[in-house]
Amino acid sequence: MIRGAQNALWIALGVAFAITLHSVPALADDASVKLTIYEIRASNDKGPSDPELSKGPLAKKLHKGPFRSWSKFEKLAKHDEKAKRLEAVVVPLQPGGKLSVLYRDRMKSQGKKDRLRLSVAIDKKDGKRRLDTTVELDVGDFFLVGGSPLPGGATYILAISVR
Amino acid sequence: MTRPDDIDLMQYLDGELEGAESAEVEAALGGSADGQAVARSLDQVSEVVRTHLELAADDADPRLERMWERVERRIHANGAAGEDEAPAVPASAKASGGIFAAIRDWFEERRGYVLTGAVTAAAVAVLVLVLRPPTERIVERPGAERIVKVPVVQKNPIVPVKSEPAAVEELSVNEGTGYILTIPGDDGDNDTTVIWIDPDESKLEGPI
Repeated sequence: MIRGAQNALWIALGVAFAITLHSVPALADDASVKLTIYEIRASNDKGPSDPELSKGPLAKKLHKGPFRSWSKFEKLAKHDEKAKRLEAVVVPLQPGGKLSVLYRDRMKSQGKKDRLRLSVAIDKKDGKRRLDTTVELDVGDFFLVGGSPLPGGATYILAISVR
Repeated sequence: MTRPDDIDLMQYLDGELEGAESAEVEAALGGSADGQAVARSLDQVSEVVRTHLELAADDADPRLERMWERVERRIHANGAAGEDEAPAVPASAKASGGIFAAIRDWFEERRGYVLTGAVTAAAVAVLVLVLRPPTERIVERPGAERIVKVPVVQKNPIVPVKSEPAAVEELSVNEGTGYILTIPGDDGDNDTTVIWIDPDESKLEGPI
């Protein structure tokens, strides 16, 4: 009798699980995010900018503010990384040194895009910390870090986005 | 000598009398021709009834045996009996049904539980469907186009999702100065937040 009752229970649970799985919308995965990091060399050298930078989501941003000082933007590297919550992602940078990004949390509010909180650190080649910051930004938005000089009068720019 | 009473005679013939009572009826029978005739008649009637009952019992035996087999199988199916105690089923009977017969037997044995499970699942399904927030109501009319009425629950009109520029909570720059700039967006674009590092020229060792 008990075995029979267990059979009935399992059948009921299986059907209920299948129905629930079908009916409930997929839960958002907040445990990890995708990082996109561009390393950019800004200069006044001759020649066109990298097509990915002149036509992509960064195009408008690189023609305003302090970036108007340069006419050519070259993509030194692009990194696509998956960042788990509270696990730092470390990316080696082209000029030397490294970038560390820590995804801290995701904030939701009605009528607004999700906001993600990141801690970002840049270390120099010698291991000394150059920059340490915590930023909140919308999903899919870019924020930029610039100003470090490169040889030839160029400037090094980092563009970081997360989704 | 008078013939014995009919009741005493029947008890005597059935062997229910003992000792003195039996001897008394026997003595009375010996002296009564009428009593002996009645005794023979009763004996013949008893024989006829006994024979009839035996024949009826012989006829009922196979049916009783089949009924007991079914009872034992049900007891075994409910787990009350062990595997070894299961009634012997001829191999030919097992093999003849094949896999479909086995499946049918399985459901037959658990019909009650499958029914219970299905009813419970149906109840859960009804609850899920009833409690799920409605998104649209579809009204079907025979021979007419499908009419979709939306929305049912939504009270607020759809508004574009607002964006905000990145906000810098903390900033620490070594061997230089850090500035936080906001570049205004246009055509609906977000403002862009920029951290600009102004390196300390005296300690400049390299690009980063």
